[in-house]
This record gives sequence, structure tokens and C-alpha cells, in this order.
Amino acid sequence: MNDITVKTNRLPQGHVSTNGHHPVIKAETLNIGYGQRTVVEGLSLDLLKGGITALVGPNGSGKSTLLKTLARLLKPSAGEVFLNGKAISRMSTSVVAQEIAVLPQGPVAPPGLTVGELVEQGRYPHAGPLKMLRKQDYSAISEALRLTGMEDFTHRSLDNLSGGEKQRAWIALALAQETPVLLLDEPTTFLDIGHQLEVLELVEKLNRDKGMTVVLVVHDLNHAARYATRMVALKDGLIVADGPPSEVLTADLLNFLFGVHAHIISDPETGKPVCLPYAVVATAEKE
Amino acid sequence: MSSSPITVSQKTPNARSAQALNRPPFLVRNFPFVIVVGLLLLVFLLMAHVNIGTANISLGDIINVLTGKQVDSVTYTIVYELRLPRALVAVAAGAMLALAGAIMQAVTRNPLADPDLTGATAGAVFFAVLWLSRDLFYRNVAPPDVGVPAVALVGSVITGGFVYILSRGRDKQSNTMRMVLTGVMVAAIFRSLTSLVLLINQNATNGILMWLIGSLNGVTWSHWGTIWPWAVVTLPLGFACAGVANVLHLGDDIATGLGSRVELARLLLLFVAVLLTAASVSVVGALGFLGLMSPHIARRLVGNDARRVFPLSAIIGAIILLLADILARALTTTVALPVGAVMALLGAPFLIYLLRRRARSV
Amino acid sequence: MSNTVQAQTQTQTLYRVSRVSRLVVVLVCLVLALLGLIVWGLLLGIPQLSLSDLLRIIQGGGTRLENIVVPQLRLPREVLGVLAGAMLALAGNLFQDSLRNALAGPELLGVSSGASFVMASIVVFHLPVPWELYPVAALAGGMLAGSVSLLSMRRLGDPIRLVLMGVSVTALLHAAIIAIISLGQENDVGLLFLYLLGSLANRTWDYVNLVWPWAVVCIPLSLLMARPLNLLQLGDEVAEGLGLRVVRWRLIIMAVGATMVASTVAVCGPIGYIALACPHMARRLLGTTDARVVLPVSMLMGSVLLVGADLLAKNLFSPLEMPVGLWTTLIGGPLLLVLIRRALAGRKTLR
Repeated sequence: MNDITVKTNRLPQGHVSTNGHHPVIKAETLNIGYGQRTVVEGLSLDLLKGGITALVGPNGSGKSTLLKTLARLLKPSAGEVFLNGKAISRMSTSVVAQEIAVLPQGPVAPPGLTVGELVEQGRYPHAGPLKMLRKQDYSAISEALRLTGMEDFTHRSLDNLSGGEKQRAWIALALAQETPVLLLDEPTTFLDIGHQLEVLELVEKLNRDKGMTVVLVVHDLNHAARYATRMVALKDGLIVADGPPSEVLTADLLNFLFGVHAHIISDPETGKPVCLPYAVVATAEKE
Repeated sequence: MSSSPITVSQKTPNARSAQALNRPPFLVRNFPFVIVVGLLLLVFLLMAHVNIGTANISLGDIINVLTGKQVDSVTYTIVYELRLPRALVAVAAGAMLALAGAIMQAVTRNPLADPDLTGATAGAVFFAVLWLSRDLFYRNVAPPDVGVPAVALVGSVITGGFVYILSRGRDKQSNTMRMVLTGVMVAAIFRSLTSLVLLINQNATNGILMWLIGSLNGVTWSHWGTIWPWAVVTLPLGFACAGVANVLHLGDDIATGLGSRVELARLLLLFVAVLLTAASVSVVGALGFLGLMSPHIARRLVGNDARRVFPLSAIIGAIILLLADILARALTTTVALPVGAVMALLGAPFLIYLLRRRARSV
Repeated sequence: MSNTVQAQTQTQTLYRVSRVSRLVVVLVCLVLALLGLIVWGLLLGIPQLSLSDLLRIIQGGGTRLENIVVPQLRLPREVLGVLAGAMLALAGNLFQDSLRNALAGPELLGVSSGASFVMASIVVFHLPVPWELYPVAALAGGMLAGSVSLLSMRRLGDPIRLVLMGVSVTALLHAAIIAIISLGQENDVGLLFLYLLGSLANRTWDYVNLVWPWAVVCIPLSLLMARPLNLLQLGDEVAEGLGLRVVRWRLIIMAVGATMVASTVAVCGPIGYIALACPHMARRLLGTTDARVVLPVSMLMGSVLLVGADLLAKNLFSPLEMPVGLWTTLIGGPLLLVLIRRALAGRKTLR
């Protein structure tokens, strides 16, 4: 009851379109914190090309913090993140922006901004502050709009869109960056079920058709299990489980992470695991 | 394929710290003690205020004057005619401005608010300046012989009411942000109008200068006569509103859910704040920073409960103003430094302190 | 399939055309208004001139008085109005967009007061600062005051906190300025108005020469920063994720903004509300927040407003001359109030 044993599961073989075994993003012994508070300590993670990785865990476990650090929005106090073998902290911001696109939590746009104007901004890392938009920029913008099904919305103001449409517009912004990697921080929180699935199916399509490497932070474990090829579970800044959903989503893990009793069944449609929490673990039981 | 069991040791919470969290801090539990200490400090400073100055007055002299014993006329003049009224007005004005600040901070739910937001300060100055320049406008008609403080008082109440009405939206509901913005804008506009009048009437400028930042120079018993009735009425009224302020602080929706008539409550609190500000400013001028500083200090000492913060702010305000005036008189011998300048000097490090606290907290 | 694509590109081009034409119309109107106001300003005053008189003077004729008044007194004043108005409006845009806060403006952040405070000190205490360095000194004061307000912000989006902190800083400096002036001599008291309100009166070419180098450098710089401004409007994290070094750019943007404000204050005193109001008006007129079009329109609007206000200030109560800052506050204050109330009516948060 007193010693710490954390077992990480081996990385599963047979990823979707593996590119050798060189990870696209490699995090090495990261220490990340805010001021005095250390949120993540000694964390290492390899992200191979082409998968959809879901970061899950209770509130405050460090999932968003980790994602932001991978996107270079936060600086780790120790350790390093490598992008294609190069240290991300030594790369210029615009070069990183051409490799990684990130969509933070709950983005807010100025009022009156249209979808087209928003997505246009995604060309900044390629076009820079002074250059005018060239033909390849315009084709990237239209492609982004097409992939997200937002072409008809180009001149609509973001304020007038539904939650799902707004989120798709922001994803179009990320897509206009034309990066091989896409990081999403809680893209489905605050959306209703229909819009949640809309966004997740879009993410799956992007991974399948464009081969994008996707990492997303999700709260809903069943969504993670359904759409992700790999689940990484965090608690208190440590990785406590890592592998395909069928291996990670277990009753023991749910008990450990969230303090709940749950049944795990198999989804009749997809065959993926589905968890059904049914009770909180009583305090007495925890000891 | 089941995964291997995962075990992590859990830290047992520190027993002592848990207990400490459940007891309110020392000063909160012993609040009456705090009040008594504050009042004693106040009395002490009152004496000190009368004591200190360019002429040497001893404590014995003061007591003699107060108890009606015979003293030479110079001492009597200094103590009774000059210093005593000045000290008493400082106490009253300091307390009232501080309480107004505490009320504004509660109503706007923002610790950076101060009485100036009601528009009362700028309004008071404008109407006072207008009145002092009345010779320019009235050449034939003899205007009524009303003192400047009275005019300032009426003017500031009018301005305060104006700000309130302006800040009400189409649905007749006031709104914190609108109130703040309206107050800032109206104050700015009135300040410009004041400058306009001063421009036309350059003669009044020198007297007004003291008004624009606040001064206790030349305060006599008539000033005390203007301010003490208001103090006696509005201070207790303000203290009584503390419960209302507490509920309002939780946010409009929650307050309504708790049965409070939000609109009425806000109106009442604003009204009291305007009266407090108006009465003080009409006698002392546009004295700044008291309303901002005193509630902060009070909150640091006894927490956020308005029933404690309001009275303590008033006491602290009086203390600060007395101290500032003592400093103002002690620092300069030839030029009569207005106490508002000293307040500004005190305000600068206070703002910086506020800054660093904000930067550290989330 | 091709029909819909065709229709789409058609609507897209139509839309683009309508957006561009709107911009052109607005720009043309503003330029015409500006020219009109400048000419009018040259005509009004004592001695009052007519258009034909003006033409005569330009061609070299006219009385000796006219030949002094127009080119030496009136023309520099107009030019200064154009430059100062443009710089103030641009500065307002820079502050508002980079802080994502509709209420950020030099007067509300304390930048104007900081600059005025330094200027008042220099004059009253007769500090040995050379004339050419006045804008630099004012800049130091303005930056210091502005950074005090800004450092109080953790979350940049909260408008009330920014306003209140700026108001506190401004009040502090206001009191300090008055205190300083009260320490000065009798005739220095008239300076009170100069340093609290802002005026374009009696500004000759010397003043213009002090300002135009700063304008020539800062105005194009501001216009070039349109794209980073657009990115910053999307949020710090999104902007960083798109490759913009947020901290660095924000500092640069604010430094340029403060410089423009400071050079204006050094020469004219703190003229209020142009920086706050012009960006809002430009955005409403154009129907967009895209900085690439808003910046030039805002700039022209600033010039128009300031030249117009100066016209009023000089001639309305003639021969008594009002400080122009008075008018901009009296007109701009309520205007801004109305604008913000309308904005608040629809939304819960201010931008």
C-alpha cells in the first residue's frame, strides 16, 4: 500500500502507417509547472506518426499541460521535447508552427470575424507578417474549408454559428497551417452530443485520409476509446497507462484514476470497449 | 488481456493543517478587539494631530482648552480655532470616504473601485467651481448667499444620480460594468467642463487648485458644521447596509436566488455611497485614494465580510487621513502642502503593492 | 457540381468586391473630408479669408499679414492636427487589438498622464532637457505609467480591471501634476490646462518639426503590424500556435503605440478620446475587425476628428480659444459611452 509501482504497457505493434520507429514527437523526462507548482514530473512519451492518441485522466492530472508543452505553448522546467529529432525549444516559432498545429481550449474570436477571415490567419507561419497571400496559400485555405465542410460558411460571421460549426471553423484554421501534426485541447467539451461526434468524425477522417498525426485531450472516455488508436492515461502528472483502448480501458484503471466502479462492455457496432461507471468508490474502500 | 495492478501510495493529509483551515483567523474571531484598538489609535492620532505643528502645543495645553480652563489667547486660537476642527473634519471625511470606497468595491465586485466612480467627486468639483465663478455669469442678479460646500453637495448628488440613470439599460436594470464605465466617462467629462470654467475664469484658479486634489487648509468650525450631520446619518446607514452588500457580492443571479431585490439593493448602496462622497468632497475637496486603500487594508485584516469591512474601513480611513495631514503639516513650513498631495504620495507605493499582489495571485 | 463551384466563386468575388468597394468609398470620403477641413481651417480666424484670398496667397500675392498668418500659423497647426490625430488613432488601435480589450487607450491606461507628468515636471522645475528630446522624455514617463497599469493584469481580457487600474494610475499622476504646478510660479498655472487638456494653439513649424520624424517612422510601422494584430485578436495561445511570438510582438506593438502617444503629448499635451473612439468607429463603418483595413481608416478618421475638433476649439468662442482636448473629451466621451452601451447590450462580455 506504500510503494509506488507504475506499469506502462508496451506500445502496441501495428500502428496505422508507422514510419519506422522514429517518433514524430518525443518528450523526454519533462518537468512542467506553473510557478511553484509542479504539475508534471519526469514524464516521457513517444508519439509515432499517423495515430490518434487520446490523453485522458482526471482534472488536474496534467493532460492539458502536457499537450501545451508538446505544442511549445509552455516551457518545461526540465527535459526536452523533440520534433523529428530536433529540440523544439531551439526551433523558431514559425518553423514549429509549420509542423504542429494546435487548437487550445475554448478559443474566442473577435466579434464579426468571418470564417474565411479566421482560416486565412492559418497561413501566417508560411506567409509571414509582410508577405501577401499567394496562390498556394489560397489553395490551402480552400482545402481546409473543404475538409471541414465549411465552404458555404466562408462569409458567415463566427458569432452566428452553432457550437459544432464554430469548432469546425477553428479546426479549419489549424488545417490551413498544413501541418503533419494536429494537437487538440478538449475539442468536444461544451458541445452537445451531435456536435461532439461531428468533430470527432472529422478528426478521424483527417487521420485516415490525410495521414495526420493527432493528439487530443478528451474527457469522455468512451469517445476516446471509440476514435483513438492509442490511449494515454495520466494521473498527478504521471503516465499510468498507455496502449490501445482495449488494453487501457479497464475497470481497475477507472477505479484508480477516477475512484469509480465501472463495467466494461464491448460496443456492438464497433467492437471497441465502452465503460459504464455505476458507483463511486466509498472512502472506506479506498484505504 | 487484463493489465497488471497499479498501486500508488497516497499521502495522508497533515492533520494539523486541516484543523487550522477550519478556524477563522485571529483577527476575525476577535473583531471587537480590532475595533477597540482602531478607535484608541484614532483618539491618539487626534491628540497628536492637534499637538504637532509649527507652534508648540503641549498635551497639557490641549486638555486645558478642552476642559475650559484658562489659557492664553494664542494657544486657544491654535487649538480651538485651527487644529481641533481640522482634526475632527479629517476624522469625519476620512471615515466617510473610506466607507464610500468600501461600498463601491462591494457593489462593483471589484477591489479596484473607488468613490470617484459614482461621479460624485467630479460633479462636486464642477459645481463648486461653477459657483465660485458665478460673478461672471450673474451680473445683475444677486445670487443667494450659500456656502460653496452646500453647492458642491447638491451638485455631487445630482451628478451621482445622473450616472446611475445613465447606467441603466433599456430594461431599466443597472449593470456593474455599465456603472463603472459610465462613472469613468461622466467623471472625465465633468473634469473637462471644470477646466473649461477655470479657463474662462482664471482668477478662481488658485483657490480651486487645492480643491482639485483635496486639502484641509483653512478648515474651520463651519466646515465641521456642514459635515457632522451627514456623518452622523450616513455612516450608520452605511454600516447597516453591510448585510445587503454581502449578498450582492455573490453575483446578481445568486443574489436574486437568495431573495434579494438586486436592483433596489444596488440603488440603495449607491445612494449611500454618493451621499458619503458628496458630503466629504464638498468640505475637503476631491481627495483620492482613501476610498481605494482603506477597504483593502481592512479586508487584509479581517476578511471579506462587509459587516466587518465597512466599520473597519471607516476607522482606517480616518486614521490614514489624520496621518497624512500630520505629515502634510510637518513636512512643510512655508508652503501649505495640500493633504491630497500627501495622499498621492502614499497612493503610489500602494498601487505598486496592489500590483504585485495581483501579479502573484491567479 | 461545376455549377455550384461556379456560383460559389461568383459569390466570393462579389463579396470581395463589395468589401473592397466599401473600403474605397470610406477612404475617399475621409480624404475629402480631411482636405475640406484643412482648407476651412486655413480660411477661418482673424483675419477671416475667402477661398479666392487663399488662392491669391498661394500664388504669391496677398497682404503681408496674410502671408505670415497662413503659412506660419495656420498651416503648421493643420499639419500638426493631421499628424497627431493619425498617430493617436493608430496608437488606440494598437493598444486595443494587442490587449484584446475594447477599452484600452492611452488615457485609460495612464500613458497620457505619465507623459504629461514628465512634461509638467520639465517645465515647472526647469529641468535641463533639450527641446528635441521632449518626446523621448515624455515617452519614458508614458511607458512607465502604462506598464504599471498593464502589470496589474493577469488575464488580459478583463476590461474592468484594466480600466480601474488605469484610472487609479491616472488619478495618481493627475494629483501629482496638480501638486507640481501648485509648487510652480504664478504664471505657470496656465500650464495646468496645457498639461491636463491638450491644445494645438500657437503651434508653429518648430512643433511640427519635432513630431514629424516620429510620425514618419511610427505610422508605417503600425500599418505593417496589421497581420500580427489580427493574429493576436484570436487569443494568445492560438497566435503562438500559429507561429507568432506573442510576448515579443505585444511589447513591440505597445512600444510603438506608446511612442506615438508620447510624441503627441510632448507637443500638444494629452488629447483624449481620439485613441479610444476612432478604432471603434472605423470597425463599425467597415463592418470588420481586420486590422489591415481598419488601421488606415482609423488613422484618417483620427486626423479628421482632430482637425475638426481644433476648428471648433479655435473658432467657436472666438476670440477666446479653447483647448482642443476639451472638445475631444466632451464629444468623444459621450460618443464612446453610446458605442460601448450598444456593444454591451448584445453581449455579456466586452469583446
